[in-house]
This record gives sequence, structure tokens and C-alpha cells, in this order.
Amino acid sequence: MIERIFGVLKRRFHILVCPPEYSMEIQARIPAALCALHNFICHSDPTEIDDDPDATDLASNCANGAEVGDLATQAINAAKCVRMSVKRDQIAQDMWDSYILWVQRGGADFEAI
Amino acid sequence: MLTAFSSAPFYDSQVSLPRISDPIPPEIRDNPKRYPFFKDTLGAIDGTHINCSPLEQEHQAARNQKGLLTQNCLMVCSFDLRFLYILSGWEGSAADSLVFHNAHFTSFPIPRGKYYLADAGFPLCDQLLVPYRGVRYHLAEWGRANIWQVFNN
Repeated sequence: MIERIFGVLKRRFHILVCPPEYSMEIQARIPAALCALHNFICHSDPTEIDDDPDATDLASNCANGAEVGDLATQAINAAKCVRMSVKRDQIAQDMWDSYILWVQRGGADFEAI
Repeated sequence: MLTAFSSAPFYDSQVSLPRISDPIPPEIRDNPKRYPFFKDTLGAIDGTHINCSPLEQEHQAARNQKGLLTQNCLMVCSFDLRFLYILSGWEGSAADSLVFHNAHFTSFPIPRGKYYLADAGFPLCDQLLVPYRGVRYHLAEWGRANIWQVFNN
């Protein structure tokens, strides 16, 4: 999915493929500017512009720190790794159970997923 | 023009992180293969290399593993293909995990209990869900699914 959006961006904005001879400070800003522009284009697609409920809400769309989460305060350590590993195992187990159930009900085999 | 697009207020109004109170995105909620397993997922994260032309003395640092001069940009996108966060300007020789590490310490907050999907180049930690390593995707093996394949798929 995210690889696809990179493709979209690079095809839409050719400057990302053929770099200009600006200073690195300017070149570093280009992707950020184009991503913002990409979002703006998605947001303001002509087919949606009339009934877009968020169109007037742009200025307040900028969330403050408390609403979007916490920054890291310490490096990634073994405990964090183990914790997420357990969580991942749990998700995998749940998905596996659901898959088995689905096969038992006569669903197609894994190839068809 | 470039500064106008890459700084407030335009940039902030277009590129913003999801809020804790946001509902589960419909791309997850309405897909029985993803819900409820990925209900705490906020989006996907990956690094991409963008060609650049640095000064002569910076060439070494900017060369990536393919030998091209690039900057490594960390990008985060949501399930409706909008960008949530961009960190650009890292040299091409920097690994994805290093760039993420730097971003998460400085300007990329992630809510407790939530996480992003990442590829195997990122570390497994509280905020990133990465695929199992060493699970092979050979076509002939697909008929015999195992638990890790179902997950990685």
C-alpha cells in the first residue's frame, strides 16, 4: 500500500526523480511540500469539492500534541520488543483461528486469499 | 512557493497525524480479514529514497545501498492514501530504523496502545508492527499455509 503511494507521488511530481541543483536545505523540503500538495489534491478533488464537510475545517485540523500521542522518551529496548512480539503473536493466533474457522466452513484455501 | 507549501499553515492543515479519538478507518473496519485484528493500526510507515544532488563533500553520506545519491525520506500514510507525516533530508546511507528512531524522538508522536505497520527494515517495538522474518513466500508453498503466512499476508 505505502509502496503504491510512493509510486503515485514520484509519477505525479517528476522533480522527485530528476533532482534539481538546489542546496540540500531546499532539496530536503521538496518531498514534504509535495506530500502536502498531494494531500491537498486528494482533499480538494473537483468531484468532491461541493459536499466536502471538512472544507471549512482546515485551519482547526492541526492537532495539538496531547491529541496525537507521545514522543519516545527512551530507546527501543528488549522489553518493548518482547511486548510487541507477544502482541504480534496474539494477532497472528487470532487471525489463524479465524482462518481455520473460515476453511472449515468451506472457504477456499490460502491461495485464494 | 516551496516554503509556503512545506511550512505552516498550508503544510499543517494538509499533513496531520491521526488523533487518538479518531474512529477506526473504514478500510479496516469493513474488511473481515483485517478487523478486528488490526483495529489499533493507524497507518503504514516506510522509507523511500529520493534522488538528490548534494555537494561534492556530502556524496559519500548520500550514497545509498544501490549506489545512487539519494535522501532517505520517512513517510507515514493512512489507509486512504494520505500522508500523515514526512521526515525528509536524511542521507541515503541512513537506515530506515535510524530515521524512524530519530523521528519518534523529535516530532513523530504515537499514541499508547496504537501502532503503525512497517516492513522488515524497522525494529519491532511497541509502536511498530513488522512482519515475521524468515517466512518464505514461494508460490509452491502457498497451498500449505501456516500461521505466520496468514499473518504476513
